[in-house]
Amino acid sequence: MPVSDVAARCDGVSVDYRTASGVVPALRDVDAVFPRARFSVVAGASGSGKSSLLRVLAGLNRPTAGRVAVDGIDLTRLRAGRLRRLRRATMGVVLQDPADNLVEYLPAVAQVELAARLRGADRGEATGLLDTVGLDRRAGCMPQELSGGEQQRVAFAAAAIGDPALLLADEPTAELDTIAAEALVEAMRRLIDRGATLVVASHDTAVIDAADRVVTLRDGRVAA
Amino acid sequence: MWARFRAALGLLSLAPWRRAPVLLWRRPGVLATVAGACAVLSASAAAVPLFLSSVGTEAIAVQAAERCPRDTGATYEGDVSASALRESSADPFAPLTAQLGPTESWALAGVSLARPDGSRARTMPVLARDDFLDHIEVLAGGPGPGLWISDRAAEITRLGAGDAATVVGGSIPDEGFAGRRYDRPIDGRAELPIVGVYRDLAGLATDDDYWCTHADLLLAQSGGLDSLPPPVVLVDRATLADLVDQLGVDAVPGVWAAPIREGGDLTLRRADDLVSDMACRPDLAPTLPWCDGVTIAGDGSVAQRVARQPLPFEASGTVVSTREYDDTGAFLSDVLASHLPFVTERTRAIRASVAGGVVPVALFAGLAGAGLVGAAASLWFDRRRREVTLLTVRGVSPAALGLKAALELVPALLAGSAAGVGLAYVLVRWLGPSPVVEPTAVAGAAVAGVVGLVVAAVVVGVVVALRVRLQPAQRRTWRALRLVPWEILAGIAAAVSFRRLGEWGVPVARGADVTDVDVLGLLFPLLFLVAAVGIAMRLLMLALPRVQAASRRWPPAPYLAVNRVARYRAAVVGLVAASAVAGGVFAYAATLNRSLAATLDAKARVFVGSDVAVHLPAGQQLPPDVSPNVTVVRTYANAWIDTYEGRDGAIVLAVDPATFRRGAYWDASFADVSLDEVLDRLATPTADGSVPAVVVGAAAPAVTEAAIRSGTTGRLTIEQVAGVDAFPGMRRQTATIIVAASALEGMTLGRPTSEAWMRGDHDDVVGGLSAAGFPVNETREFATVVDRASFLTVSWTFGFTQSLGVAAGLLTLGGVALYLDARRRGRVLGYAFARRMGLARRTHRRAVLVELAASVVVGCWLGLGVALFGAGMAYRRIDPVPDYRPDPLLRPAVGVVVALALIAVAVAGLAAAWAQRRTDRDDPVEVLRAGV
Repeated sequence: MPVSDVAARCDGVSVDYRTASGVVPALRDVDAVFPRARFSVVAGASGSGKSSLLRVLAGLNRPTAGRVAVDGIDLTRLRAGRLRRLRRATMGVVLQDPADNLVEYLPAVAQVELAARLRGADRGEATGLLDTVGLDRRAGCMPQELSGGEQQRVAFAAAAIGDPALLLADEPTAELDTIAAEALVEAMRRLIDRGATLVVASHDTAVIDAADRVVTLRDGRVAA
Repeated sequence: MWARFRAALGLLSLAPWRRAPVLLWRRPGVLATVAGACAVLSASAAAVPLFLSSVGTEAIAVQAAERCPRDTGATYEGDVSASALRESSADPFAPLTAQLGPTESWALAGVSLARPDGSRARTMPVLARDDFLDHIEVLAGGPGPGLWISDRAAEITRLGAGDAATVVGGSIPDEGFAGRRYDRPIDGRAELPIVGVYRDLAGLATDDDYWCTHADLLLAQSGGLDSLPPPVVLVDRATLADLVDQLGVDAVPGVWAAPIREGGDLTLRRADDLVSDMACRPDLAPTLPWCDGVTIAGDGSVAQRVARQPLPFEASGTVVSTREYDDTGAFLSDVLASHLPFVTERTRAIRASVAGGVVPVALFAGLAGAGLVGAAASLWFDRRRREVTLLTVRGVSPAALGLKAALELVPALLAGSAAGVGLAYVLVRWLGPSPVVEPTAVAGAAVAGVVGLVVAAVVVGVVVALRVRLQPAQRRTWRALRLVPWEILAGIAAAVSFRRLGEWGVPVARGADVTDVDVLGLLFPLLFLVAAVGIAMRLLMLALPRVQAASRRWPPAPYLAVNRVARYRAAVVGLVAASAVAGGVFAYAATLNRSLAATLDAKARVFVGSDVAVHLPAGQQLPPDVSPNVTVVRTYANAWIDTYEGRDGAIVLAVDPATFRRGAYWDASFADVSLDEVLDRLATPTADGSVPAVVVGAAAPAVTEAAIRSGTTGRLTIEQVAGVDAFPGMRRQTATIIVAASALEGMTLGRPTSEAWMRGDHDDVVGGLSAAGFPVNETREFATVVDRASFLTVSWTFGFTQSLGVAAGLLTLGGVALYLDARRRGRVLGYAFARRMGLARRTHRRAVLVELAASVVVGCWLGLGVALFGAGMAYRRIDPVPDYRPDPLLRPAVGVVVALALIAVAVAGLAAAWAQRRTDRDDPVEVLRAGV
């Protein structure tokens, strides 16, 4: 695959966690490529290392070994400040719990506008993005007035504003019912259509079925 | 740089920062915790200027109380002519009536008073002072122009009220060459009536404000204990004017004296202003008589005085001398008799000495407060973790999140800072040496509060930023730090501090100077506590796994408690340390303060012999009913003992074993046996005829021979019947031999000095003796031993050290609240789970109580024990007056220790009840949903 077609890649990535009972390996020598403007899913059972891989891609954790590149930039060589600025400019992250993705005292449109201003993007896109995820009529609602699915769609809109090179989401449908999950998948597809690159960790079959590419992990390794 | 500044400004305009100050209103618990922590920090900083100001005010008050009122005001001396005496001359202190007054004036002359036939002439001072009739006991006669003589003068001269007295010459105090005083003889003769007889004032306690200024006329002269001063003849102004006219004297020495108006409320700044005013402040100088011929330097601090006073043997107007003064105090002391410049200088020295101790202590308390602020900031992080995580993944920097935390906590920090300053103000006014503090100190406290606010905000920002930055991989570093045996370092520091404590002694006043408090010595209890608690905690941590394993066989409550303590061992160790420091510092400071006071009291009483020791003139009996607790002691001062090193001077005290216990002071620590036993041994004759004796003092070897010399030398063969460290009446550097008076009967010894030793309130005993007409001549007084101002320097420093205990106590309370709040989720969910397994509510409450007792109660009791042990080690090294016996006494502050022990139990009990109540009320589902 040409380099220009790759949004992110992992080469020989390993991640260890230190716990009271000793070192726990989360990822082992993982190689993965995530194509640009495509919907990639990192699949696997609980504890297989999906969230760890996403955290490494987002630059929130440094790998114990290996190399991680986003948009051709090696994250493992960057200092914390540079990494933070890179994440702010080129990545959008959606967390598993819908409530974790929103500031509790801001309405939906302000959530997206805040993300735009933090990224230095045009706030005017906020309404258009909410329209893209099907929430243009709920723009003035506070988080607690939105359902879990709606909250996740607002989170995707906020993450996608400013057209980051990479959109990462960790189990975005885990706490949603089937209908809400389907609506979210539909919203993700529309973001792909706008040119976004999505990498989603999930074991939800609805999400996996919608993916362009699936990387399956098992016990911290890429399954054959 | 500009771009970063713009970015920061842009950040502040975003909602999470712009709305930050109002975001926490729905979380009063976090606000209250942060406010409380900031209050501790600000109070520590604000207390320093307030406390030092309070020390200054009290130091002035203490020194003023030790002196006559006029001494801390001013006395102006000048010559008064007969006409000036009749016309009531102008008050020189009139321009200073706002600060000084009312002015008292008197004039003095020495005359030879005789019967009309010139017989029985006796030199006596004549004192003319207003209102003297209100301050004497009239025995005969009544108001009218003429002389008032004392009953002693009446006895000497055989004159009485209504008689005419003849004054045959006399003398007038004058100033001679180089300012030396001498008595200028006068030769005239005068005839004046005697209008009254009053009770003689010689030997009167000069505590009386009216007569204390004439102590030089009333106290015994240096000629011996039986040498009372000449009786004083009291007159009104008109009578003295007649006397001056008849004697043909131009003028007599006159004195104007005025006390300070503010008494015990005089602050150091006000005293400085008063010194400046009296030293010819430019706007006052034209109206002050002593400022004639004085020029003031441009900065107002240097006075130049042109003295145009020709010496007696020189031609008038030939001498013009000029003197320059380094400061206003020196000028003032030269022209006025005032102790105020000395008092202010000494007060400054005392304040500096106290500051040397309280500033490091305040720094420690401030660090403790900053630690609590940091813990509160950590609580904020936990409560706001969701938004912090969201902003972090969106690329917001740790510094920006630290700023957000500080902005959200601004209302709490402001309130806490204001409360801290207020708390310091109230505590200093309530518990400080003096309730009066200077306005500048209040302003200083406000500034300190602002500094505390800024420091707290910075601590909040830094702690939050660090927690945002902290990566799991970094935990390895912290774990490694736990293995460092830092308590050994604290132990070494405590040992060094203990050594310094012995070298330091205590602040001793030399003139106006006071030696500084040694900070390292002062910090001994803290270092000792930290080391001891550190070692205890290390041992606890080592034992915890075994205790945890053993707890599987225990009942549910201790099992739960032990496992919770093991799970949150870091927090528990923190609580144990805070409780130990709180209880320990309080108990240590209280014990040493109590021991210091007891030691000083014992030293003074040992020196005096009892509460009051008065000279008993030969043949005179004490008035009956003055006090039942009296004993008479005879002192042979001219004695010696022979030792292997040579001959040493000694004194012999001949006591009455039958009454000594009632009249003398005694403390059980003076000897291994009781006083009764000592007295019994003294009273029991020995088989070989030697005199039973006790020998104490600087050179108190095991002697068997002593001699008393007075004319003829009497030799005693003595047998020491008891080992005694200190004995009432012993002298400072001289060996003292105590024998029973009966053992000396039949011996031809010199004439001893007799003293009556009396127990009871000093003022009551002295007042009773005076009222009974007994000439009170105190042979030794407490003031000889007790230099209150320098002693209080130590006492105040230890008092302030207790504020560290207060800060640690607040830290403990805040820590308990934080501990319970931080563990709320786990406790509620664990309780819900355990209830389903059949755990009784009562059992759970007991488990919480044991868990809290393991931290707060164990910590406090550990601190109390360590503090008492530390005080036991340290007290011998803190001797307020090393030259006097006995050695320092230990007086554990039992009341404080018991109260603190009970408070710790109460805090654990109340906190457990509160935690259980809150656990009962919390809905596990809601707790899970809210994620608290």
